[in-house]
Amino acid sequence: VTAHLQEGTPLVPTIDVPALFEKHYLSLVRLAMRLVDDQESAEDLVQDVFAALPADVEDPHRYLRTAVVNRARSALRHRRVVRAFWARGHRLEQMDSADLPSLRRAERDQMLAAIAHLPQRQREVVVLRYYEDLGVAEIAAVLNISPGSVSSALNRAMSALAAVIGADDA
Amino acid sequence: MPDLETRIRDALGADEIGWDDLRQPTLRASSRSHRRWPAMLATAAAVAVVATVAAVIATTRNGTSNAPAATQPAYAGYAWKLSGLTDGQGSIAGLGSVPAQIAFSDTAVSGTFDNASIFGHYSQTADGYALTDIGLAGTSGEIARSGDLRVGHAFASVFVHTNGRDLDPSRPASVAARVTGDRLVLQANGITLRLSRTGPSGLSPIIDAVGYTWRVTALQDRQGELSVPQRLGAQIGFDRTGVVSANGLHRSQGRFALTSGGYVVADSATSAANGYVGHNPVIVREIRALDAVMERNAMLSATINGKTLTLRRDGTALTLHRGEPEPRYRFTITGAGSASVEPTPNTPITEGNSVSVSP
Repeated sequence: VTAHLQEGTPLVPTIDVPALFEKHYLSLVRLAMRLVDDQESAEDLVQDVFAALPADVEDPHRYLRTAVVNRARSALRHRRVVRAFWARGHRLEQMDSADLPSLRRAERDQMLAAIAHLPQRQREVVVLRYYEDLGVAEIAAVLNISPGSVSSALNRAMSALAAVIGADDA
Repeated sequence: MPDLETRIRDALGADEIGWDDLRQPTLRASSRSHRRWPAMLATAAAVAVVATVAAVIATTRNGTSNAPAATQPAYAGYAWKLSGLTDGQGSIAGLGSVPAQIAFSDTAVSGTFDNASIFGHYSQTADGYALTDIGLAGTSGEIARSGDLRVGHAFASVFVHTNGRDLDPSRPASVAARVTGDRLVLQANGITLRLSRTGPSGLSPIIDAVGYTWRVTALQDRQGELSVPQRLGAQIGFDRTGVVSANGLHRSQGRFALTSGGYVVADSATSAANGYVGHNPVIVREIRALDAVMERNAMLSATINGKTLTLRRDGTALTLHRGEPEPRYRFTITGAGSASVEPTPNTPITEGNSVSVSP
């Protein structure tokens, strides 16, 4: 197979990366924080996503969101993480705990820890469904899996969370 | 009690961070080349002070001296762990817990200390070996432990000449080496290292790729094998400060850390500033393959056969042809601790550029 580069092929970006960064960076970091276990890693991986953003991507926001999910998965694969500590770790240190009833805070911690303990695919589905508010078809597109697989993973995740949180929530 | 979905939304939506909470609130792409790469180089260089290696040859076995021989020296093919040293301050024994090791192939030597390596090629001399082509590689490591500074300096001294606390990798060491059973003694620059054999060498083949640029001539991915015309072949270069660069339509850089079968990419970044917007299948597949081998934490296996380098990661393989050697450069390590590095990675490394580490 041979191919030729044509002279004059545009090599300049066709998207405005700084504008995309301004518009989406914070929300992508927030998403990444739900998928990895600390803010520093989340910011790192989102920065990496922007640095590797192709110049000709058709739907930048969709591309960025998918890339963040993929890189978060890769990041977790490459390091040992005690996910259960996330909710009780430095995230809690940033909270204004005086404004939150202790019971409600404890419930959130319990839920976050349970989500963090889910298998990665289920965790991604739960975050995309209940944090990003994506539908099944959109989640399937982001994760490059079938809608049926999304539904299956979501059902398993909900069962697992219900079992962890309490039978009365199932 | 709220239902399960509400509780999930409540938990995931709680405690949102804002712009003021971000630690990297600006786009890194433009700043990376000015801040991050020098920092990485500095870290690696500083680590290398403590992490250096030395190697020498043992020309004796069982205490009997040998003349330089065409045969493989007794230390070649093995890894040797540091157990003790003697320097101007006296002797230190019981260094078995220090993560310092030297490994030899029949032509190359690499010393590792924590996550950093110093490596080069060697040729036998009357009482040991002489080093050439010194380079540094690695990711990061603890360099400030005072107890290790002396050990690290001694370790580096059997690779490069020293002047007080200054180490000069541009002046490789000539090392005396003696093997007695499973013990190796190396001497250079007034330093004696005592090491114990631990097993097979496991030396990274990528050491032989350092100092050259390599042009992609073929690739293999899930779509099959593909020849890459010369005019479309991207180049991958490994320099002696431990930086691997890929110059295709995208430009990528990362640090490489030696492994027994190849190397691991650390702290890599890709610039899409000159990204490809066309649909040429060769270019698209080549970019994808380069992204795979330059991705952060990518673990590559490498084989070198003459002027052909093959890099493999999962289902991706790149075949590359060796190009001209990089211009030689000079770097000087003057201590350990805080560090500064010049030039920036955007500046080609040329004769006279320096990498320095200030105590």
